[in-house]
Amino acid sequence: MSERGWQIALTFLAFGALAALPTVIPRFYASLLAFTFTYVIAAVGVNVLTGYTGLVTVGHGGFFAVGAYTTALMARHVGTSIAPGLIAGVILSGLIGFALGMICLRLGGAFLAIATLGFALAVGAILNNWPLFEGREGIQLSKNTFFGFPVGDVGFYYVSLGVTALVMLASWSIMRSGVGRAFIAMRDSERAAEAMGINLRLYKTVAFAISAAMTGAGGVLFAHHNRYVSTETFGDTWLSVDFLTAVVVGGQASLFGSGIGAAFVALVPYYLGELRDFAYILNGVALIAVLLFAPDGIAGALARGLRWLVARRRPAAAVVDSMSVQRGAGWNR
Amino acid sequence: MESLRVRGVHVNFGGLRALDGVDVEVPPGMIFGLLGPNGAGKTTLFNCISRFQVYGRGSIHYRGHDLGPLGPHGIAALGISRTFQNINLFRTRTTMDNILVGMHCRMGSPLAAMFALPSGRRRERALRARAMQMAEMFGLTGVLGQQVVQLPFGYQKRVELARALACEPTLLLLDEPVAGCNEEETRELSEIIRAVNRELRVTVLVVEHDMSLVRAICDEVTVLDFGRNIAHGSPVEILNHPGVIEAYLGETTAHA
Repeated sequence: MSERGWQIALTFLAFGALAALPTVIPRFYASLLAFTFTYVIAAVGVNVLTGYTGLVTVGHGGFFAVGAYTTALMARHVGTSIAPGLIAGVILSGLIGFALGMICLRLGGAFLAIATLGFALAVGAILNNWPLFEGREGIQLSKNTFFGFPVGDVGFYYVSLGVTALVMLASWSIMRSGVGRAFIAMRDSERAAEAMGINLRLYKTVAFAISAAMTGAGGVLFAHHNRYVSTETFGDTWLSVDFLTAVVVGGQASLFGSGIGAAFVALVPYYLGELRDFAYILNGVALIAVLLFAPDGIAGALARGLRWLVARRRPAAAVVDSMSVQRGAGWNR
Repeated sequence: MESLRVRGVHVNFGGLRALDGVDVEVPPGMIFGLLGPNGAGKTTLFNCISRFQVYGRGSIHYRGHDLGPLGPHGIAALGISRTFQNINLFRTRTTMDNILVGMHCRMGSPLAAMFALPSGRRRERALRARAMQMAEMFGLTGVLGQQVVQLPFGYQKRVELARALACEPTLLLLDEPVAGCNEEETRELSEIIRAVNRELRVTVLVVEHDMSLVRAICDEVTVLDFGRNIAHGSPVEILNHPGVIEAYLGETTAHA
């Protein structure tokens, strides 16, 4: 089987295993995993922009918040639940992403990172100060339903697993198309991309919009998972930093990497329990370690390790063959 | 009728006049050389045509279209393509992907492509088939799946040419195509450029200061110095033109 064949087979296997998981694990862990999925969705969104297009964002917590508050306000004032919230949250964060992309068009590198950080800070300030969003008091969401059906912990697990799969499929499909090739081309060389007829302004803003829409979807599910949003979570920039850390530690321009990285930043604070504040230190250590020793992240390091193993086994077999041939020759003599 | 027409183009960098009213007319089907010593303004003019440089007074038209209001990405649709002086490939990508990006203007609907709709898939198959043809034409079939950074220099040059020609342009701009090449690579590239010109019927504009390449491939040459036209003619005429000799070798040598 080709490397690509293996990738597809393993992906199906992984999602199959995740689909079967709630039958064997306690409900609590299903809920914890569903929480992790919301981070994975957000990281896949950040990966579109930072991993593939090469535009570093430290502001996607802002889009996560846009998604979360959109569905929370709709739930409170209109009485809707997950599905309408998802649609509205995705559209709204996509539009805001498009606008932010236009504003930041001429920025790159560290300047773009600072500008997006500014966006996250602005969102935090608005949430803290505009009474509509209830600041630290927060907004409570009623029991989750999905197309009218009540959804418990396990039901929500499947909803978020489905959205995760959809977002990953969308990212995969985009990245293997001409549009994805244009994103990657801009990352590798803006000048050459332009000379090939790629409209940088258009493609950068579109990358921003797609990326923001995906992260917004994560935010919507996050709100329904906690059934509560407040500036305790959304008021600062830690979410943004978490998502960027997830993409870099997991492996840029890799869907598998975004998944692993997001699971890392989502679950480490939980398993540290009382020591959860140390998670920031651990994230920082992981970030530095990855940048120093494996710039292609955990996914890249794993892929290299696997290739090395395969390459090592094959020549080893060849050596054994040649040895037996030599010995055989000796016996015949 | 000329295919590319440059009229009285001026570019100033601060107090320096990089281009001081340059006129160039490139007839269709020709390999046209733009020659001049260092600092003559060749590259500035090249960048004006490829739209990486804004010019003040003057005009540049291609087949009657004004290039002035277009950005660097806009000229691809008019059938103008280019290569870079120092190879500028999409480094992390394969040969195949590089050629495919070269066909960006043939992508069709971005939505159909992104979501792999039937029309998008058909288009993608057609693009890949065409990319294979380009690879074959440039002897790249064996390295289609390889990352371009791992390829030797000569191969990278050919990938860049294949990428530039993938969209079937009518005018190809080459910025010092043999910079950094040894004699053999220069000869090989000259042959490729001639073949491209003849067989694909692409008009070629070469910016170069290497006289041997110009003599080998160019049909007509315009020479610039200090941002002005100083001579125009066939390569042989140019090489014997007193003004050109003076510009290249300096006044005293010319008189000696």
